[in-house]
Amino acid sequence: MWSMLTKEMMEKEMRRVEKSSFKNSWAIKEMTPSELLGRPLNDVERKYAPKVVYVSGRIRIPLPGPRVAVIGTRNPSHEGIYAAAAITRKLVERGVIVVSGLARGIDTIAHKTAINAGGKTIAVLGTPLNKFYPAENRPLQELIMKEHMAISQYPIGHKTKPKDFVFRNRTMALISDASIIVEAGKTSGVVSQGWETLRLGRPLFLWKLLLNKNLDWPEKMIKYGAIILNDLDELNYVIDDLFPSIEGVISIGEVEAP
Amino acid sequence: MRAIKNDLPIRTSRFGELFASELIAKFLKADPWEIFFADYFGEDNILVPVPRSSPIRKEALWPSFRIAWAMEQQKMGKVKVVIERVIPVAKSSLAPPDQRPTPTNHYESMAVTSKLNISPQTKIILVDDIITRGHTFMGAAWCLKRAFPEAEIKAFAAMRTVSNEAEFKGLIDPVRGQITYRHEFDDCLRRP
Repeated sequence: MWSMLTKEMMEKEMRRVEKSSFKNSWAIKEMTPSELLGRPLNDVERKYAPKVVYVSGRIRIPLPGPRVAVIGTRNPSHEGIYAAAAITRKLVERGVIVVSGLARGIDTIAHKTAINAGGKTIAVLGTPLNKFYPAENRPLQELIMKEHMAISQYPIGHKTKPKDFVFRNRTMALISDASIIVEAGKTSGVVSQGWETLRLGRPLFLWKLLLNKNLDWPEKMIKYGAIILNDLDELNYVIDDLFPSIEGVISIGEVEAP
Repeated sequence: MRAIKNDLPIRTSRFGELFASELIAKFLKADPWEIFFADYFGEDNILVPVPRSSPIRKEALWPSFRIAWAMEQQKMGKVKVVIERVIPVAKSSLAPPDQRPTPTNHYESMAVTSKLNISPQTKIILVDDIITRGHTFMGAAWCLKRAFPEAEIKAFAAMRTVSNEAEFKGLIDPVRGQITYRHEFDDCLRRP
């Protein structure tokens, strides 16, 4: 994401962000990722997990599931916009919480579509919760912090650096049961989230658009287990496979749900 | 199933909260299952984790390795990474039935990457998280048999699919059985 901006553009944008005032009435809770997810993390998860996260919103903690990240480029094509909205609507219809990074483009579409479809959404920010980046998403972030959930690993007062967004992507992979990359470019920030999703052993899906862009990373990710999604029927099938209802099983065995 | 695939914690009344891999190993060493599997596992056995459907990067989560590792901690054998996936194959759970990898596909997409000191007494136990028909086990067993023809090869999966609802007796229902390769269809029959 950041590699697309010149240093000058980035500094200008960050100055604009710094100027934004913050309503101090937000109830921000500090907790460990383990408390957020309601379970201990295994060693693979702990490797890049932040020590604490800051959370604001109405979604209960520990987080309910399933949760799927819908992410992509800041500059989507017409097809990318359409696909992101359709994927998100399908996830909401199936009771999945939509996770994204509140960036411009695909992330914004995912959050807005989830809200408009009556679903729940979680924004994982690369800035502290009192910053609004991009500034135009301030109303959306405020709505999410009030009615849904925003999560940041950065305390208020933290000065944002470009690498914070890479760490944010890893955190987003950690709190998502699966990730879907809708559309992205050569150096898009979502690439780091894709690799982290695979490292965590979680399903990573690439929307078919990514195959037509002469990119080398989707091919590499497919080699390591990423799966191409060709249509919404496949998405339905995937949701059935990933998140089957287990209520019947719990009552029979002695194992309780994690 | 997701708890096993992601090695997430599971709470049980008997063992408290443990990661799935640890819980599986503890169950196998606890009454009555230790007796049920008494002749199956042993400290001198070699536990070979079955590769995932795609090559994996170092440090990535590998459920069958974690289960094998937890079994080693319970003195059920020694873990050796012997087979690796070199070419990705479709994930069985997500592929339509006619596109699921066959035992031959598995065999051709895996490679034996380490040597083992094998004696006639050596038992190799392939370890996997989930078994459906046994195609992955069969392909992996062929790889091992070619590299170590004198070794006895068995397989263990932490969870099995049950297609007939009437056969489902509960989440904890260990069984022993056979996987038979059918040459004419290039597939396997698992019983039970």
